[in-house]
Amino acid sequence: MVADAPILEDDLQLLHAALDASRLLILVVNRDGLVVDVNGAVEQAFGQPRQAFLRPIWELAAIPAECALLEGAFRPLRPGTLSRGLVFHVKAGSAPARVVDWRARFVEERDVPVVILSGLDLSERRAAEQQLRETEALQRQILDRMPAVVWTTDRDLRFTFSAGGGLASLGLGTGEVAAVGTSLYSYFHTDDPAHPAIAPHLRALAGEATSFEVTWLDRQFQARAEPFRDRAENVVGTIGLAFDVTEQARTAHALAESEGRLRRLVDARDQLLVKEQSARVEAELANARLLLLVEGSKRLARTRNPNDSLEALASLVVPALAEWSYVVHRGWDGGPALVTGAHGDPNKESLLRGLQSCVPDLAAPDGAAKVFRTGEVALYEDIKPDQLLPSQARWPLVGTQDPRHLRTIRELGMRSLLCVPIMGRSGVDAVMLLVSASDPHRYDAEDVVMARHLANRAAVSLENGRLLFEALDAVRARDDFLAVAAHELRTPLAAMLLQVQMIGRSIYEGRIEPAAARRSVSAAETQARRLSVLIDGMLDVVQLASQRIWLRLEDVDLRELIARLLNRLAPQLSRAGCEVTVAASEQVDGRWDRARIEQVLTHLLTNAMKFGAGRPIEVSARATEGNVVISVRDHGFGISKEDQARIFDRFERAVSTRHFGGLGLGLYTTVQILRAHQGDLRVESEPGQGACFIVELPRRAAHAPERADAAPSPPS
Amino acid sequence: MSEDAFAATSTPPASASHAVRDGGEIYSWQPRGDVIVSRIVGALNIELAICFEEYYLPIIARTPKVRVFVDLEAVSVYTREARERMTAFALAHIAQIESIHVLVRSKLVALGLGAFKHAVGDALVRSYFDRESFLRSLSVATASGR
Repeated sequence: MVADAPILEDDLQLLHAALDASRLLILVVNRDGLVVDVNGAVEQAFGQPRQAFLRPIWELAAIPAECALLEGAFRPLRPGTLSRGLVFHVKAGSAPARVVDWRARFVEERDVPVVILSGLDLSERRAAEQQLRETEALQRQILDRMPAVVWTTDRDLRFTFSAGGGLASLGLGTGEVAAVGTSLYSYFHTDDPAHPAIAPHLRALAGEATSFEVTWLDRQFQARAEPFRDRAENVVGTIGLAFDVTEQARTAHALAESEGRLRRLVDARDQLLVKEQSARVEAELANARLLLLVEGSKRLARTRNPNDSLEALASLVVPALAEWSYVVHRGWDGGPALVTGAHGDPNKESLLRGLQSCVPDLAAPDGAAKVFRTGEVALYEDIKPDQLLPSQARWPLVGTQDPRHLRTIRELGMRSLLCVPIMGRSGVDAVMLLVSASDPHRYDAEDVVMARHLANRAAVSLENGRLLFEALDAVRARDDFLAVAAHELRTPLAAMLLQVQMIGRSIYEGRIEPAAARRSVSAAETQARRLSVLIDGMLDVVQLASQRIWLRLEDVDLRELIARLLNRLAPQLSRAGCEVTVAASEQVDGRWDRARIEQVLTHLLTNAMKFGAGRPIEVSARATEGNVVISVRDHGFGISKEDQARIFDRFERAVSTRHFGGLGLGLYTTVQILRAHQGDLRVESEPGQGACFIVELPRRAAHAPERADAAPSPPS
Repeated sequence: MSEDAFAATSTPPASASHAVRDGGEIYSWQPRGDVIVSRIVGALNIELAICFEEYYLPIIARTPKVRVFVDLEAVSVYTREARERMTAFALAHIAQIESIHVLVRSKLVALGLGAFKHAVGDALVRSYFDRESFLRSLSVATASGR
């Protein structure tokens, strides 16, 4: 402070008062470079008392270079040695140094010139600037390390800024994404506002932020464009941010491909496993079916009669093909009859037994009746209870209206029904019914095939049983015939032998009487002829059974033939006491084998005599269109229906051999002769009411007829 | 038969033998000395058939006649080896088996049971497609003996 200048003292006091109120830092330095005064702002800025600054100014410099600079400028201080502005770091006491931007002013008007330094403390600003730089550097580092690109555009979509680590992956440096001023349109070589990179920016200009994907220099970016607003919230351009997701996309793609390959491998493996398992299941199915067929064949082959065969069949299919089954046979003597059934569940067997009398009506449209009519398999699926109820409006599915049977079937359960024919020689012998009580769609095509196989085996078994039955029956008939034939042959033989013995005895005794000898010889001859007739009949049967009958066709007048025959048989008719009446049309003729037709009529008349009980015999012959009908009616004891079915077979007879002779071949031979003429023979009779044998003959028989059937069926 | 009784016989007790093998599992228990029950679920394979044998063998060894109840309702598929193994097992001990009652649902299993039945004998094998009926037979066997 300058002590010897009172005026200056006053001035300084004024100066102090004025400058203490200033926020500027003020130092007053004399020409020796000594700080003579400071204002309050200096004390406040450094937190030091005023005296701490009253020293040569260069001692206040915190940096040696600045200290030297100040000392050089202030000692001596002259105008021109000190620039108007200087910046140096001030240090006072223990307070940290501060950067101050000083302005120097010489005050030379005074006797003692001084320099007034007014300073602006830059420390806070510098620190803030440093922090800003550091923040910017940090942000730049962050941006440069991010796989992203940041850019801004003006309202014309011209780039105003670009940065980001994503640029490096594009081979570009900061700010090189596009030259500032380059338009997005030209950058993407498009003028299309709908371009995937342009449209989001246009929306951003309209105030809408949009995320989008864009491929940029072969890199893939997930981008977002937002409006860039000024302080007044006006949209002045766009801000874009794009993340380079190329590697991520490649990785995701590779991962997806790997997953895809893995999935395909797994799928292929699974498919193989499924196929392998499926093949094993199929093989086992085939195996089990084969076992069933083999077992079925074995069992059916062991059966000795049809009922056993059908029982075995019904049992075979449970449970492999059915929960329960039953078989309807058409019956050995007429209408269908339920033969047998099988159920795997012992608690339901008694229910099933209730169906043994359940006979389906052949008029029913469905079920076994349909199969009997068509010979085809019938499959019924998803059967509802109302299809098994008695109804006037429609037939229940199973072909019976019996409420008890229908109730039993409903209790047993029937959701699927498979009806399979068992074929015989002349159509459907029986129908096998396979039932699933639980599965509405139990049967597929393979099940049908399987069931048909089993039914075919059952049919073979049935046929074998029938053939066995027929063979046994034929053996029985043959044995009966042999007994009858022996008896029939022995009778004339014995009589003939008696006559021969009588003649022999007369010769031996030497007393032959011619008359007696003639009677004996005649009687022997009669018996021999009778033997001959019997043997001819047997031979005829053999021939009819094994050879074709050759007819010698000629024009025959039937009236004349009958008259001649009756004349020939007159003695026998007389002995039998049978009166014969003939009713014949005027013209009854045709082209036939005369001898064979005579053989037929002879046999029918002989039969009428034999069984006519001495009552009248009526013969009629009339011509119809193309045919001739001949009937021979007796009034004897008649023939039962049962016998009518078999009297036309070989060795068959309706009466006891004890009471009536004959070999039982006549009607068989008659039928064969008539069939050789394409004709036929039938009988109408009731027990006790006599019998009427009716011959139908075409008037013009073919010349070379078919071979006579070796095993004829009865006439219908 | 009450619902409780059904529940008691249809559910394997806690003491039931249990094994899981290759897609299938088997529970076996003995509600009565001469009655054995098995419930098989899933795929009936050879490993399960062996488990079946292992449970049955000691029982059959000490019991003159057994009645066997096998619940195959939850079996959808079986292998030929399992069928043949179980058939051979039944045939080997047929003198000690009074009856075999089998509950089935799948037609494949029913076909296999058909083959089994024909090998072992019709009279021995009973088949059920009705769980209630199967349980009724089991209940009768468990409650009253023969």
